[in-house]
Formats: sequence, C-alpha cells, structure tokens
Amino acid sequence: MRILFFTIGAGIGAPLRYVIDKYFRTRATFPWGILFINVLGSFIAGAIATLETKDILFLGFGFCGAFTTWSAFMLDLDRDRKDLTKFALNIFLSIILGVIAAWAGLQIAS
Amino acid sequence: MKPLVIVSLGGIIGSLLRWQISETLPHSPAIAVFIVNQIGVAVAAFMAYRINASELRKLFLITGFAGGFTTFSALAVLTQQGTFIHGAVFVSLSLIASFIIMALIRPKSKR
Repeated sequence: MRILFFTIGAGIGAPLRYVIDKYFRTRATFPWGILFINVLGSFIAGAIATLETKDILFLGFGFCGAFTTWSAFMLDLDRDRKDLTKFALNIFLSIILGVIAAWAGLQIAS
Repeated sequence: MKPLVIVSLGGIIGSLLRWQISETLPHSPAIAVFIVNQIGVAVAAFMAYRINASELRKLFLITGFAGGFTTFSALAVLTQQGTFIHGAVFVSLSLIASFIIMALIRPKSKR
C-alpha cells in the first residue's frame, strides 16, 4: 500500500507545483510560486515527519517530496545570479522560511 | 490537460527513484537528500541549457522528473534533526555544490 499512496501523492504534488508556479510566473519575475510551494511543503513535511508511521502517511511523503523542489529553486537562482537583490532575497527567504516552516510543522505535531 | 499529465508522470518517476535511493542509505538520510538534489540539479541544468528539447519534453524532464526527484521539504525537516551547526553546514554545502554544478553545465556563452 505504501508505494501506491506515495505514487498518488507524488502524482498530485508535481502537477500542483507546476500550476501554482505558472500562476505566479505570469505575474511577477521573482519566483514567488516556488518559494510558496517550498515553504508550504516544508511545513506539511514537518507536521507529518514524526507521526506514527501508517501507510496513509506515504500520501503526504510522496506529495511533499514531489511538490517541493530543489532543482527549480536552483535554476531560478542561476537565472538571477547577476541580479544580486533577487538572488540574495530568494536564498534568504527560501532557507529561512523553509526551515521555520519545518520547525513549526514539527511543533504542531508534537 | 496534457502538460499536467506529463508533469505528474515525470514527478512520479522522479519521486519513486528518490525513494529508492533513500532506501539504500537508510542511516544517512541527509547524504541521500544531498546526492538526490545534486543529481537533480545536474539533470535540470543540462536539459535547460544544453538540450534543444520540445516544451513537453522539458516539462517531463525538468518540471516533472527533476522537480519531483529533488526535494526541499526533506532538506528543511533534516535541518531540525541535529545541531544548528549541522543544519547550517548541510544547507550551505547543498547550495555551494549546486552552484558549482550549474556553473559547470551552463554554456560559456551564458557565463
């Protein structure tokens, strides 16, 4: 069952990321979409990380892993490498907010 | 509808592959996430900079596969499972390694 739940979660997470990212990308040059996705996904992952392992949780593991992304984050950073404000803001917000979100998720679960 | 299905399929394949890699390194989840993210960045950069692929193929490989293979949530949660220094080193090394990979793959004309 785990692999099935995981597959369903991933199958939803990836296209949802695509839709959200596309929505923000047509409205701003800063990658707000990927930032929002990575922060939200980190919060959910934190909230389920320490729960008692049940098969249904793999829906969440699959979702969070496919929803959040490191490669798109890096492609955006590479594109903005000569725009120091955008570059620094993206790294700063992604890492700080992502870590806080994971922490908050873990706090809620415990 | 077609782009969504393509991204979903790529995401599923990438995610299952990431799961397989993390299963082979059960005692070092941080190393597994690190390896996966760096490979994913290399794949995404290669496809974005070096290959003339159709939009759908790019959606499948960059947005779907590499996007689903790599993860940010696992990295964020892992920073909470050690000391602050461990977390800071893990994130810094992940960023630095990815910048090096991107710089190596980026065509000279774009440097």
